[in-house]
Amino acid sequence: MPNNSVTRLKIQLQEPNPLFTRWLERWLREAEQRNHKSQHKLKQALQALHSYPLPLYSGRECAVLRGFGSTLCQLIDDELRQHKMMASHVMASDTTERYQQQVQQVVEAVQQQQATEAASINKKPKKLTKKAQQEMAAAEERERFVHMDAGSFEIFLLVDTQETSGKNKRVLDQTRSYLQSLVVQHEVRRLTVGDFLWIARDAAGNELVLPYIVERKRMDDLASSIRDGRFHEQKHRLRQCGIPHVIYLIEDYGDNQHVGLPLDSLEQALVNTRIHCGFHVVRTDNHYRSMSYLAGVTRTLVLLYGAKFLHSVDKQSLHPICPSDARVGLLKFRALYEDSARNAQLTVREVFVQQLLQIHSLSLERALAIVERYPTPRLLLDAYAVCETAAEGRRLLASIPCGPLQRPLGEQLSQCIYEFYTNEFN
Amino acid sequence: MSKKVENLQKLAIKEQQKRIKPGVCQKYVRLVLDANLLNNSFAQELLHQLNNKELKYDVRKLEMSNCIIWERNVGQHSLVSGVNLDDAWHMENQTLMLLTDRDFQRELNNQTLEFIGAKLHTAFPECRYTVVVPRTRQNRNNHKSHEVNALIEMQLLQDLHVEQLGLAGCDELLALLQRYTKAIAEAPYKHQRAETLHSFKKYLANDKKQCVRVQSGGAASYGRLWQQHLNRLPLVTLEVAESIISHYSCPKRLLDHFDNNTDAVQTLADIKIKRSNGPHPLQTERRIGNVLCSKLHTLYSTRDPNTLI
Repeated sequence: MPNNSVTRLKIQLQEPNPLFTRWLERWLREAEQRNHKSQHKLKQALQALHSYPLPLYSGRECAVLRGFGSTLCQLIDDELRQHKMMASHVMASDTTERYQQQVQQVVEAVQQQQATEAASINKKPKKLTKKAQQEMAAAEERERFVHMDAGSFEIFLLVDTQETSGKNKRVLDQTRSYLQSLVVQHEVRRLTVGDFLWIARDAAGNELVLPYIVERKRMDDLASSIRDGRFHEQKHRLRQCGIPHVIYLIEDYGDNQHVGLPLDSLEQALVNTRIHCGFHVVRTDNHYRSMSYLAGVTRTLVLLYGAKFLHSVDKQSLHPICPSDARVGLLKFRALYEDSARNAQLTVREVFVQQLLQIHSLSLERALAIVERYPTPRLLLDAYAVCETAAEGRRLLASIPCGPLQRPLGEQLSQCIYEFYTNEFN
Repeated sequence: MSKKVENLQKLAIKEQQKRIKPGVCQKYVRLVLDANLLNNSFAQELLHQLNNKELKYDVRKLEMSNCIIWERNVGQHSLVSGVNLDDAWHMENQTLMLLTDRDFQRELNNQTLEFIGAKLHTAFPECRYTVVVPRTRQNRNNHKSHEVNALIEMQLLQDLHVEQLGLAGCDELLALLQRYTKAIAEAPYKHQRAETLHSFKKYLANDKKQCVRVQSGGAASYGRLWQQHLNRLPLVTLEVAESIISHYSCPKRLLDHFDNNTDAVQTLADIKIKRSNGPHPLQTERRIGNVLCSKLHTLYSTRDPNTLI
């Protein structure tokens, strides 16, 4: 029978040593009757023999077992000699033959079973690991079109687990206790963008994100994020996530005078956020008032969206929502979560731009102009390879127009980049 | 297109760029106040302060009363007039409406706040709207919650910015107008910058902290630049970069290695990372790893800029 793999058979005999076992049992009985002190050792030996799975062919082999001293082993050998003499040769070889036959039968039975299994294995799918199953479920969820009739879903507030100033549990607990006292239905979850979101969830567990996202900042957080440059990056990520209405919830910190930057600068930054980014900016006095605001928004959204028909859309097909629309297209929560993860993969173009920016006098405008012409390092190297002289290579990028005024990149930068990629140094 | 027109176009762009530069741009922007605002008690003081702060303004009857808009002098080249620019005031896309205490209470009681958005849209289409309302004096009990809810509804249902100010004097209003004017003046410049950044998912403008000054021919600075390049890849730490550099001290060497060896990625992956804290016989040596090396290989060999790393 064809068998692609070799299977090791493990044959376990039910009674591997019937002869020796019976002899020992007999001797044990005799010893017990006579109350001989040997009964204890015999008992031990018998127990060991019972537990031993392999056939033993002589008394001497029994020596490995517990309770089998030299005397006992000798006894067994003597008994065995007598037994052999008494039984006919045929019977002895019969036993071994029978044993071998039995083993052969077992082997054949197993091989047959394997064959039938192999035949049916093409029909039965392999059992998936738990991780693979989860991956499949996630992929299915990503593809599925979701729609929710009016009234078939609940709306609740989603709070980011890291939503605190100072990132400690105490403040998160305070957030939760305020929300509870304000009777706001909410859940805490890890978010990849924003501090607060609103979700519409139906009975099947589908989750769609309402078109509002809140980033809460206390004035001291605002100051520190401006100083270390995170502020613009955060705003960029909020814009990229696809949610149309971004709300910056700005909470006072005392008199806002000792927050790390002059108050006037912060106020200007907030106005800039409104005018340049189109975000809403809402000011509150303290943490409680902030939560109170969120409670108010939650109530309003429940009223506004409860009677709408919701369905899922991709980020590219999102359009601005008019409050009077009866049908609204929303992002799926999972899609938002995965898309906005901070360490989502970069494209080669992005990495190339970042690399070019490492040169001091290469501004973003210039880097983008170069990448417009040669979108990957390989394409630039190809162009260098085609140049007939080194001088030509050095000049390759010099005339690329950069920025709105279309100023040429310049000889010096062009030369620098050429030398960097083509010279051997160090 | 004739050469003259082309030149004029270039000149126009140049002039425009000059005018939108921060610091200079405010000179070309002015406020336009609706005539009705002058009926307010703080009006004279406000105008006086606007002059003090050198904020240009004009007073006119606007399409909707109690509003403030902004206009920019974009300058107009005409083929006839030559070098000097004519004035051409274009309206900016921000509108501000002021509701005094009395007005606000009246609208609130009549439940007509919900129509403000529509009226603003009609009077000033395609704008973003800010409504200035008096600051609610919130006390412990909830009777101001009616006001608070009205403001939330204005924000969410009508997509209006709501700004709460103390309107007893004109100080807060003046400060707001100053900031708005500055932001509006700088908006085209910021918009231009943002446009290029928008097409990238990652925010690219932040990375200038460790950039390298490269004097032409300076091998030392090129070396540092090479290290910075390697660091741009995610998960490349200092040690990993140094280990790679110890074998391939410049991009050319690494590129040659990729070109000439069929098992280049494997060889690269097997390079051990040198740790700076001495030999550790019991610690397993870390390799650079296949994942990272295939990323490097992809970076330097693909011709499709949208390949993910």
